This record gives sequence, structure tokens and C-alpha cells, in this order.
Amino acid sequence: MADLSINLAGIKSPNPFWLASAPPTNSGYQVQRAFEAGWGGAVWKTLGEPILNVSSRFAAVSFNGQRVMGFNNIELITDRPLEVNLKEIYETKKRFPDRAVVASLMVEPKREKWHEIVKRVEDVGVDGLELNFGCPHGMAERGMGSASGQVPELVEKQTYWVKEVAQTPVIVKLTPNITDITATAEAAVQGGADAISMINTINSLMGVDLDTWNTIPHVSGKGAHGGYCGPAVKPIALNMVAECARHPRIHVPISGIGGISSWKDAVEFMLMGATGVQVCTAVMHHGFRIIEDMIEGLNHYLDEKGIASVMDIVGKSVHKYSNWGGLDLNYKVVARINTDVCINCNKCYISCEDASHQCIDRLTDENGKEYLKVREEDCVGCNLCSIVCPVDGAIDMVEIPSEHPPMTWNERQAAISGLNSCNVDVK
Amino acid sequence: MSYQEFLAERDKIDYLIQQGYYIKNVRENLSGAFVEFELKMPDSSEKKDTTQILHIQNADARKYFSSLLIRQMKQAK
Repeated sequence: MADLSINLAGIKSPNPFWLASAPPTNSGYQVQRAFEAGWGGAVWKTLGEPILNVSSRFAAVSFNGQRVMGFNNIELITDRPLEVNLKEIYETKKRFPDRAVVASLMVEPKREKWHEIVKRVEDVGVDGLELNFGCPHGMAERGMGSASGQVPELVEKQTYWVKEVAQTPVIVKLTPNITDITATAEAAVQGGADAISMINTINSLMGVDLDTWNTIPHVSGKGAHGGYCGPAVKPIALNMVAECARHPRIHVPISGIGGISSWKDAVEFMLMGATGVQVCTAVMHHGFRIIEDMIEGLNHYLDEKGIASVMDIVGKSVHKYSNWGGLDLNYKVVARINTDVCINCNKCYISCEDASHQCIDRLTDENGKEYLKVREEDCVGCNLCSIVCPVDGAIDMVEIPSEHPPMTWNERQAAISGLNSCNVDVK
Repeated sequence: MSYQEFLAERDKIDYLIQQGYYIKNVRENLSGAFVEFELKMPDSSEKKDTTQILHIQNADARKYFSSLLIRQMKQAK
């Protein structure tokens, strides 16, 4: 059995799976049940001045029979008084001293407000703080959440104010509703953040009812944008984690959040630089006990790979993530259709013909049987045919050795630029 | 046919290289690449143009001359 414990900027937990600050961490009852199930940590639902919520609050996108591909909420931070939450945090930490209990915080961008809440929360023995600069709805209209998190100067300043008084590690949770998340991540580092977490939810409107023309969800016939999360956002989150992980001036640990539903998702985030992960939507969909499969799967994976500690995989794929200009233009793959597996549905043919490079031929063999064949010399290796193919193993993407050494766009442009600026004398 | 276009343009490039030309200049614009070749050590007894310009339009052919250019620059060092 591998060692699954992590240490994120000094916050220790027995495994890398934490509950994200969200409805599943609203109360001591929930967090303690989660810890009983095996979760390594929990970021308490955001504390601040207790709010008022609306009804209804959630909506989801289902796609082709898959429920909750994406999830949207317009619920705000805790609606319970701080004292109530603090009492339950204290009791939870006392009962589960080995688990990470992190308090998510959100107050107005005023120094004294941050100082007050940090001191009161730390008094009950939390392991760390997470500053919510990401919540995109409701609170943002009041200058908090993502409204703060979209302005690097505010991120830096508020982080600094927290660090003036904080005794525990400070994680800054970032909004994805920004063009370049590394700008705010760097601001958090400048402000003294011990770690960053990402992503919070993405601005979204889930739909419009075709009969009533109401938004989905709606509140008495009116709607407002919510925060989008769930499996559909995972690629966006993974990219943002990776962009921060490979950024030379963002040198703090990352807690990965966004569509993580399985141990495999967690491994991907950790390989791309996350020290641990936070989960919400998958728990809202399936309950706390998904942690059993996550721990078991991660254990098996590490054992099969011969890796002693999960911390050993953190960041191992970051060096493989580059700018487009650093990719090899001479690398080539082509599609190859295995006719013994292919069911001749023509999905690949249609996709290639209509949307790619028209390099699949429909042919007939000597027995009159139709088959599909890729003209490899015309294939650009886009992967579309293998993506749309409904049969596993019917299309392989095969690497074709290049007669030329690797050549990136950046190298090519440098060569042309160098040639044109001072002609090389090869005479 | 894209591959046929590539072969045709690659053959023109290869022909000039075999004739002793090297890539002297590359100008790229909306129409593709205009690659200027110059003859190495022109033989004065032969009536050969010392410079040739190829208009390379095919994407793979533009990769191709780029690889040759990088090789040429490495050999010149």
C-alpha cells in the first residue's frame, strides 16, 4: 500500500482527497460523515456574514443519458451565524484530528474585516484558511468573491491583509472567470499566499425553458447567472492548474479543483502540478462514499507503478506541457482502420469528409464487401475519426517516423529570421 | 490532392538542392512562402541563373524546406 498522505503548504491530510467548499461541507454533521467515509480533508462552506438564499438554486446538464455532465448553482456562502459554524468546526477537528479542516472565508475587501474573521476562525483550531476570491454569483455583485478575484491588485492586497494576522497556511482560491489565471495566481503569491486553489465555478446560464421561456433554474420567473462545475469543466480546470504549475513565478503548492470525479481525475491533476484535489459535484451526485473507490483506485495505481508515495507524482507531467510554439512540427501520426473490428458505420468517413481532410476512402473488396481505408499520405493525424468511432480498437492512431529531426515553430521562425537578417554564408 | 501538391513542390526544392543551390532567403505572406535559392559557387562556364525563387504553397512543403533550412544552418556552423 502506497503512502497517500499529503502535505500542502504545511496542511497535512491522510489522503489527497478533500471536499471543496460547497453544500457538502455546510455543517459539522456533513463533514463528520464525510470523514467517517474516508475523506482526507474538507474546506468548510465559505464563512462570512450570513446571507439569504433563494429557491431554487441548482440545475444540471445531462448529455446523451449521462446525468450531471455539468452543474450550476446560485447558492451563496453560509447562511448560518459564524458562531454556529465555529462550534461545529471545533467539534469536527476534535473528533478527527488527523484530517485537514480548512475554513473558506469571504468578507468585504477591508483590512479590519479580514483581520477579524481570520482571528476568530483560527481560534477554533482550523488547519488552514482558503480565501474565496472565486464565487461568481451574488456575492460578486457586492464586491466580494470573483469581483475581488478578477483584480490582481485586490487579490494581492487582501492576501497580504490575511497574512498579516494568519497563523495557519493561507490558500487563495482563484476564479476562472478571467482571461489569464496566472495573473491573479501571481498576485496571490506576491501577497504572501502559501498555496493557491483552482478553479472556482464558471459563469453560466444553464438553459431556457422552451415552453415557459424561463431561465433554468428560475426564481419566480427570473434568473441570474450561476457558477458552472462538474465533469464538463475538468479540461478548463486542468489547463489552469497546469498553466500555474509551469509558471516560473508561481512557486506555491496548488490544490486542484474542477470536475474531479474519480481517482483517475485526481492523478491527472496531481501529475499536472496539484498537491491535492478538492471534490464537490461528484459528491453532490453520488454521495460521500465515492471516496472508497477513489482511495482504492489510487492505491492500486501507485502500487502498479511501484510508486511509494502519492507526493512522488506531483508535477511529473508539467514539463510535458508547453506553448504551441514548442511542439514538434515534424511529428506525425496517421489513422489506421482495423477492418476486422470496424462495423462500417461510416461515422469516421462522414466526419473526415465533412469536417476534416477527406482522406478516408470507401472501397469494395474482391468479394463485394465494403470497407474503409485511410489514405495515410493525406491524413494529417487530427484524431477526429478515432474520436467519433463508436467501436474501441477499430481505429488506431499510428506514429509515422519522420525523415527529419524534430522542428518546432519557434525553431523554424528563428531559423528564417536568422537567415533573413544575416544571410548565412555557405559558399 | 494535398499529398500530390506536396510531392510536386518537394521535387522542385530537391531539384534545386541537387543542382547546388542553398536557401538564401524566405519571405512569407498571405500567399505562402517565397523561397529564394542561390547557387553555391556558380560555374562561370555554365549559363545558369544564380538565383531561383520558388513559391511554396503546400503546408507540408513549407515544413520540408524549413527542415532543410535548419539542417543547412547547422552545417554552416
